[in-house]
Amino acid sequence: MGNRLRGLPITKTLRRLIHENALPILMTIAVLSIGALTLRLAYPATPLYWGSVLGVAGLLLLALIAVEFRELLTFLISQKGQMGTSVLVSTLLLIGILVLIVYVADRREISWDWTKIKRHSLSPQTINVLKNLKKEVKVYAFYDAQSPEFPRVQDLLRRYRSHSAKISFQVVDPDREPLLAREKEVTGSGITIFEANGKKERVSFGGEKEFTGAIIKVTSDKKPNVYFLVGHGEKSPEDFGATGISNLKTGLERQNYIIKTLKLMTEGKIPADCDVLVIAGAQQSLLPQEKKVIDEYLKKGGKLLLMLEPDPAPSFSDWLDQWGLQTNPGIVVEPENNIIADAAAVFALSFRFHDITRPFQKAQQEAVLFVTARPLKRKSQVPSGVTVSELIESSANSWREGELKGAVRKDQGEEGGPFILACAVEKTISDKKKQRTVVIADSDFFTNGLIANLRNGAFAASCIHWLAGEDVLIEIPPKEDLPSRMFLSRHQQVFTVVWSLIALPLAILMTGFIVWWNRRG
Amino acid sequence: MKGAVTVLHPGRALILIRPLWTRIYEWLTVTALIARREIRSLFSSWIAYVTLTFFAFLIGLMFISILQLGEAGQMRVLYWNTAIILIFVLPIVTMRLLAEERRLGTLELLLTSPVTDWQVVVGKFSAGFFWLLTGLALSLYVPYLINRFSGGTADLGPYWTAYIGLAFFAAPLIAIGVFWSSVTDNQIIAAMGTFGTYLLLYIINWPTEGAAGWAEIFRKISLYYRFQDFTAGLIKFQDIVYYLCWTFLALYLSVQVLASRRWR
Repeated sequence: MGNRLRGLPITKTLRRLIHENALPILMTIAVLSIGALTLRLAYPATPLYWGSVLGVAGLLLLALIAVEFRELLTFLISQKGQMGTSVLVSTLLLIGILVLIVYVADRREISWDWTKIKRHSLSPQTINVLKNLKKEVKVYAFYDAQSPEFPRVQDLLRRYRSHSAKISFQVVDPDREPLLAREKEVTGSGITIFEANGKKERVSFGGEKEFTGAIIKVTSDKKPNVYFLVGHGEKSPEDFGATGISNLKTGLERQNYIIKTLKLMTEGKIPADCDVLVIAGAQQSLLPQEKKVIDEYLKKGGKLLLMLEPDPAPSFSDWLDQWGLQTNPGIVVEPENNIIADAAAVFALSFRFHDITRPFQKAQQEAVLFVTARPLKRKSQVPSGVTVSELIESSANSWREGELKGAVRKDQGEEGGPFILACAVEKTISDKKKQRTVVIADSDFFTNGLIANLRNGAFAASCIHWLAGEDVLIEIPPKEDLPSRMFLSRHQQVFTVVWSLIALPLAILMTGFIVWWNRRG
Repeated sequence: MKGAVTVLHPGRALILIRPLWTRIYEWLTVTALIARREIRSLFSSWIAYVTLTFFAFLIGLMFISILQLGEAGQMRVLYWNTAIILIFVLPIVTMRLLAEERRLGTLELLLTSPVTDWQVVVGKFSAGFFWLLTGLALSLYVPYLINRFSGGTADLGPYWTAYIGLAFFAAPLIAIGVFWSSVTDNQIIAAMGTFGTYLLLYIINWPTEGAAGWAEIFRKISLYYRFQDFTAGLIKFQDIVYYLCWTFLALYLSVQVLASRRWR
């Protein structure tokens, strides 16, 4: 076909055109290739863009080779061509070897830290933890690629890996890796996730101290024990019915928890291995003796998840009082977002910022459904040493419905919202010990019948996870550079200016002049 | 295998090793001779002094302006900028290394003499590197004064690593300068080509800041990106390897260009 086409005038013209413009065409090919690469970077999702540009460049190259085939061949078999080719090949080979060397070197972390405070080195505590690491730890750090934190975290994790091959890590921009971010339930920058055989730990920003703590946590073999109090009409993890919480139990067990029930009346004490005690909506009051045992437990730094129910269930007001909370009879009625128009249902969307609510930080986009929530408010005076952090609140339009008889409307004496639906209370016991309690105004939301709704299950698990979370206390002194201020006297200032701007440059210039003068002579 | 006796020649190992060492020694001696000749030639022209003056003056200017902040830790900015200044100054230093010889016609003389192309190229490179060391040595008053002004509280570690880093950072730059100077006998073209290459290698990671995949590769190519750790007091083995690889590649290409004169 080529021979038949060759006779045609149009093909002839085309061939001449290409032959005479070989150099511009070559340059065009180069420009197009760079353009294709740029497009590849700018729009990685649409290969059509860079693909088509690269295709055009390829076609031009093919046309050029087709037209100049004979010349090319003649050049290649000439001595020049052979030498040139061999140089080209050896150069490419060398580049390949060098790239390999750099690649291998880049995967090693051998470095020398010359700063006084050893800013770039891990502390002996961390190195010890890493040396004794038995499990694979996967680390996902989500940081905005533009922020200075990005390379800092990358360097830090690289140092971790240099001490243990068990560590593998990825530092990614959540905006550029939305799928991974979604999988790890990360919605913003500054979150680092540590994973080791099913355990997961989130760290918000932080440095070596927090990272090492997280590694200790996820690799520890300890299975937290969660005890559910029974005997007062509480929801039971053994109950498979709609009002039972067996689904929660299954879910927690999958996350390495051990779920047990506790009959405090017969056992008389809280087992020593209890990590979290749950009172899931007691319908009858606890005996004074039981309360005393729980009080003792809390004083030793125990963790309690207390779920309330509206009257006639006990109000636990003596405890709430100690934690800066107060409650009234009745239920919370939430007219806002109440699509099922049930006076007792509360769709809660207002998550407040806390470790527990971190997985649900998409404000107003995720919700927990509570049913018959007891009105709970923060007291105007919170006792000292106690911090109350609201987790979820009802809207400002909600109110306390005192009497459920008759029409449901805001009557006189029924105070308005927002009400606390869940809050975390921390009470300082000693320097290192804190008593942690989560109070939830409802205990129905995590029953088998409701747990699958919205984020109910995830929220309940997050509360227990926070309570069971040990505070790994490792003391790593912060590496802050001691600022070394310089105060220059007038004399020093003048000296510096004269020396660095006048004397030294002039001296160099003079030397040059003398050299030049001598040579001239 | 009866009777198969390995005969050990006592002197053999020595014979194998000695000529190698001698050869390396001889090679180095000749290279050092060329380097000395080049250094002398560079420092007998006004270019070396004018560039050094310019270099020292700019460093002085920045030193004084950063000194106003009154914080010794901020001085790392000075070394970031020193690296940028080198990008502007080094093409002028390296442009004449080989181009001058080509222009004067003395290159043929050098290439036909019993020295190898590698010796010529390494010798030329050493001259450029000597200029760099001189320039850096002339700025050593900075850590000295910082130490004095801060009453000895300043951490001088990052200063020394910055100097080590500058030496490694500048090595490929000088080698690229040698390469361009071997390509053309026009000094202006050599300087422009050198500067253009620096600029490309300096800004190549800009449009890809922070992205993954290809961008990661561009970031790895960028010469300046790796320099910053040095100014923070950290010497990384991988960065040193990287700079040495670039240096070797540029010198290798220069040698190939010189060698091509025989077959072109």
